[in-house]
Amino acid sequence: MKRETAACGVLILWAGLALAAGWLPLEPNHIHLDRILSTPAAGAWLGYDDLGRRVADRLLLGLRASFMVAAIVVPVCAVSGAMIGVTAAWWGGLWDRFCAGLIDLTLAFPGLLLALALAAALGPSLANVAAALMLTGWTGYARLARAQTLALREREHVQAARVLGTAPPAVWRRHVLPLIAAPLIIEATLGVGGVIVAEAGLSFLGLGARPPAPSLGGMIRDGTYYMLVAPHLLVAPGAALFLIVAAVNEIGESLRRRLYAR
Amino acid sequence: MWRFLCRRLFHAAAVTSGVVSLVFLLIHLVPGDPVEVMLGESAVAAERAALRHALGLDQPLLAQWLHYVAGLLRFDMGTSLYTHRAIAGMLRERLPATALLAAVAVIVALVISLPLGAISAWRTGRWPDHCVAGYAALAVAVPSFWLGPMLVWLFALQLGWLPVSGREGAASLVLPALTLGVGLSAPLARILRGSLLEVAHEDFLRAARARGLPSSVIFLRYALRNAALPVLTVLGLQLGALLGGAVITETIFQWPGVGLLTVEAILRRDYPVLQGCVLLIALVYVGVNMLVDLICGLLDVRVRTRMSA
Repeated sequence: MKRETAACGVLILWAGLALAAGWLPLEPNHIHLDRILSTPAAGAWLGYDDLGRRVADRLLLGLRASFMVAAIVVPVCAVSGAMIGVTAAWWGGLWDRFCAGLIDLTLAFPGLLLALALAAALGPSLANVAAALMLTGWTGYARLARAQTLALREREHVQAARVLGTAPPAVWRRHVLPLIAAPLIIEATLGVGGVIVAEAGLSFLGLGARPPAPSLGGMIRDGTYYMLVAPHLLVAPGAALFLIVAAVNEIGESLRRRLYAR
Repeated sequence: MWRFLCRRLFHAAAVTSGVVSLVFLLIHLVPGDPVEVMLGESAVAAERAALRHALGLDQPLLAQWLHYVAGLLRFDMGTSLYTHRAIAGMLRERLPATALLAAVAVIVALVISLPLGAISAWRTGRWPDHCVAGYAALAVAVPSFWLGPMLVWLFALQLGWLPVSGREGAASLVLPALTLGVGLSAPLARILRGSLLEVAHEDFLRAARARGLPSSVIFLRYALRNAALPVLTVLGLQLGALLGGAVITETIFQWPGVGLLTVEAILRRDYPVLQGCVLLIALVYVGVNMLVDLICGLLDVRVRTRMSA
């Protein structure tokens, strides 16, 4: 219980900071020539980067971009994946074959590879990274929803609803989705961490937001160039990313434990 | 067994053809004119026409696809726009480095996860188990593109024990393999713990204990052997994460493998090379997963029957 509370606290803190970043008087691109690479001090908690920009300001705006991508990508993937999975299992036949094939095909590309290739083809920008993550991210939800619906379809309450002539969308909404929602929500919780890391990884490789727009991955990459003289450039964005992902994972795992403990 | 084998091979063939088609279509996703993107704005019309013709982009889509597949069957993936060399040759040059890195990373992951998984299953719910769970949570959450540079900072820059990057001797392999292996060790330790706990109450273990066998023999010959199958499956699946992760890890350490080539191709807008790299990594992944399934099927009848049902 304690660990979950801590995880929720960490996540709320970071998400709150990211949300507030839009209203704070931040100067992510303001250059202080006399402060280049200077270490953390009062007034600049995280120091200045290689161009003399405040790391803390850039970190908050980078975080905001990460959370924005996650807030768009995860719901889109979860909803579309659930719809594809439920309909595939429900109707079966050719549509199911097609969906299962598409899922297998997407999963044949390990890890970030497909998102990487798509983002590279579409060109470097935050929107294209989000698009690439959406195009590849729905499969996990679809596979889960499909497997669960296949089992549910034969259950008596669903059979009864079908016999009574309820239209399929109503059956899904009232009798299928409520029962498969819990595992999907857990998957989505863990997915938030996954999407944030994926976005940072793609920006690390230079595929995300274009400079000077701040991003966690880009800050980590730039930080590696100055490790010897200014390790804070590397530590700050990495630690933020690590804390967020650890908190999200902890919350997801604790939800999972609660669901399957019963 | 034959039925299972045929089904699995057919499935792999179907996925492979899908992968080839998707990778082929990649170049058509480039917004606007891919030739213009590759050559830049300064190129003259004749150059563009020449490249368009060389890539076959002036032909109908179906003809392009047939041409691409026919080329692949002859191990011809076209030539790089940047180095003007055959892509198949470039990949052949880079593949051994990636294979070596992946193999050593798997060994590192096994060396970390086997004792951790065993300890946490042996002392379930006690402090060693909690420590291992804590390690697994950390290892899963730490992104490789942060772990790698931090390891470099500590072991190469501060302590000076290991080289920063590149490929010079065995020492330069340590940090990349560790970076990749740590991420892989967490799921392996978890799954090993779970499957050890599952076999812990089996009759054959009780029988082995009743016969008074030493606990090391019981663990190695009876418990670990029977718990190994899920670990093998997860290893096969995670190998994908490893190959995908190699793109980032190789970039951090400038390790001259296929992953670094992928990123170089992206930065140079060398789309044919990008296609070749993505295709190679995906096909290796599909092949490895097929092998893992076949091995599991060979070792365990239950897997075979589940698959063909």
